[in-house]
Amino acid sequence: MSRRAIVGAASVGVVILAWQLMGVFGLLKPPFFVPPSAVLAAGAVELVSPRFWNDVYVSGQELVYGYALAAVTAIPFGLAVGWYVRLGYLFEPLMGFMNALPRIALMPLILLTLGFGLWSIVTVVFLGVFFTVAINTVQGVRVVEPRYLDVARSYRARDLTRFRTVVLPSAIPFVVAGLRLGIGRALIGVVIGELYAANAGLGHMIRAASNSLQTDRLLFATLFLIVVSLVVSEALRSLERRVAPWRAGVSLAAGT
Amino acid sequence: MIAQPKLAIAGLQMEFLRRRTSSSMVVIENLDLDIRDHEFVTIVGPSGCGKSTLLNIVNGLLSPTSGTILIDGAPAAARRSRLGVVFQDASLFPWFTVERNVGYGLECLGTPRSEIRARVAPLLEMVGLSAFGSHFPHELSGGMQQRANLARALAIDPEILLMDEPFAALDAQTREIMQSELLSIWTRTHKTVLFITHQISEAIYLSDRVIVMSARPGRILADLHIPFDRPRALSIKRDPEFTAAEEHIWELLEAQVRSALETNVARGG
Amino acid sequence: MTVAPLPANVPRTSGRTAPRLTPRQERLLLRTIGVVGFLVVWELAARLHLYNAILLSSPSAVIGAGFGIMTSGTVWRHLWASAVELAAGLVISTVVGVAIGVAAGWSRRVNYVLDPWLTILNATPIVALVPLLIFLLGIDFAAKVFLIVLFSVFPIALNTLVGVEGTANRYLGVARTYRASNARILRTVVMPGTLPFILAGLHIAVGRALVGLVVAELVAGNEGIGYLLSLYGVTLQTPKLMFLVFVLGLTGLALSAAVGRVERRLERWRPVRR
Repeated sequence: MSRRAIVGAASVGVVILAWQLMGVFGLLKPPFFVPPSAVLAAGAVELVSPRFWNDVYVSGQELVYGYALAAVTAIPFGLAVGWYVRLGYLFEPLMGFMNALPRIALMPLILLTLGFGLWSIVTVVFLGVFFTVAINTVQGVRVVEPRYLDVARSYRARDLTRFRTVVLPSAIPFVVAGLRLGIGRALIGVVIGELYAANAGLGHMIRAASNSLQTDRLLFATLFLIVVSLVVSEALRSLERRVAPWRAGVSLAAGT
Repeated sequence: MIAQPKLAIAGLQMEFLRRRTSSSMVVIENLDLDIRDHEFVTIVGPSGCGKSTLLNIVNGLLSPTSGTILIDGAPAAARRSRLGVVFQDASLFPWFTVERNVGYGLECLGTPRSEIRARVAPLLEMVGLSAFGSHFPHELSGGMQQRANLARALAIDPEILLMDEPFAALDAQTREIMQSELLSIWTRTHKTVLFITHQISEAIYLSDRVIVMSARPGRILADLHIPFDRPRALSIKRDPEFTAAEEHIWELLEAQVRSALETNVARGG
Repeated sequence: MTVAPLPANVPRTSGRTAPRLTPRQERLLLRTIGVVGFLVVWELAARLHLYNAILLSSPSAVIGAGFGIMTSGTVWRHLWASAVELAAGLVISTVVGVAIGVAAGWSRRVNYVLDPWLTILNATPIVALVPLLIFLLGIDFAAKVFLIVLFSVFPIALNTLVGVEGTANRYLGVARTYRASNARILRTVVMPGTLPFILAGLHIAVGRALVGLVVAELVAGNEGIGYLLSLYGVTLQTPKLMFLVFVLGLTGLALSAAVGRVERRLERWRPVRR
């Protein structure tokens, strides 16, 4: 084990231990704040509860629908808008606006239009993911090294060939980076959506736990989400390396 | 009977519009140049004299403000698929293997995959990269990358090879070796070559003719015949006749380089 | 020469330009068409009753509602409250984020200690904690600012960290050769290179801070733009609701444009901008 891993683990361990000790010495005030052991205990109960797994299923379904829908539409859209300069001009202001808008502000509107449940949440997820993926894709297409396009033109590559052999390969790392960032957005979308407009799912569970002051369940649900988000984004990071073995990986600004 | 030039450039004029002032800047002024079949011609000139612009015009990446380019007496536009181009470093696609890079021109021509494979193999052999066909460019040294670059240009069996400072990014020793390798490949394939460089000794060593260009706007200052016998060993660079030629060209260029230094402030790349 | 020079008036990727239209004018024209076209389609769809206009409203109704709101007076109190919270949150996030990032980037030990926390907290969907935090902290000014900081501090910290770590050894070597003190190295070598990263982080942080603001006010609170959003939502006043959405979007755009401006201003020494 590297020194980095040891110190890192110790850093996390010390905080958790201190937190636990505060609980042991009665410095935490349940139910508002509970020690880690209580969170784990709640977790043990939840992990065997069918209701919890139903919540996971509901959230997962919304996440997958919204994410897949967004990815399938945003990638072709981004490729087209990036490649055809004029199409780009046409859509830039709207894309910029939608990306700058805290999409959660649309929540009341979505709730009004689509009501409680699946499709409201799918829409929230979709809106979160679509613009992230689309904007990354557009950027990927636009930052293609002009030199490579010159090479393709020198060999009289047709438009489609140029797109396939030059634009697409150089855009792919950006697309995947967009997809990775999108996962974070999707998770947040599910939680936000469910906080407002659901009667099942992890967000709903968090809201219910918060309303009934079950801090242990709330923290467990949050922990669960953190783990899922870390696992998925790590998986996509390794995918990122796999799709572009020819480069070290695009480092985009960090963020979920 | 007068032999028709392989490549004929006549009355070439190139102006760029300046974005800010919307005034124009003349980069190439009334340039005429004929290159015979199988001839190795090199252009030397100060930075910014329009050497690369000229190459890009011949290659069709830029259209000239006026003037004509003929290949075998026909407008170049129709014949451009027969041009092979070697750019400076880092023009291999990093996402393709060396083999796919070398076959890229053929791929663009719609050649079947099996035939591409068959034609690429001997080329890799010729440039000494047989063992590296499935490597990615970043796994190759600079010299190897430029060999792959050359192989890519040769793969389409071009009638004219355009080379834009292909060795500029290499270290001095590798550069020497690459020069002699290029000559030996040229002897075997005997393409018509239009080569661009900053380095006077490189120009003399490689060429049948050296064209000396002026500072911007680019004009031809001198068109010099290089008399050395072929094949040429690298050692001829120490021949007194060679150094005399070098000195002669430097005398022609020095004033141009100085004036380019003053006009090219912050021009960059 | 690295790139083939192209005539300045010819776009690189596409063919001909329409006659007598500079690329700049063309871009402006097409952008305008994009926006106006969207509004026209929306308005027409509303007029033709293609959807329930009570729910999705129409541009004319939104503009009307906007006039109504802006002249009514009460709205300004809410907007002002939100603006102050946002500004306070962003300032604190920047100061704290840069401090964390520099510390973790500069000292290996600090890095080892903080790194797992940054990773965990950056992956945490903060929204999930909002109900609890509001319960614990209440929903006064300080609590809302705290939430905004929580939403926006990590992108700044992580980006700063990446920037500091990426300081070229070459320049560090130069500075050390001249026996520059650590403080001087930080100020003259590390910070200039890190600034673009900080600003990139701020770019993300601005968006996140807006989200934090709206979430906090939506969930609880009796003041601010988020409160108005939920009020108009519950009372079915969609034109007003949409107007506020529009205001939020413009705020987001304006803030990121402002960051972009600072970025350009501070980056003049950099040779190539992409």
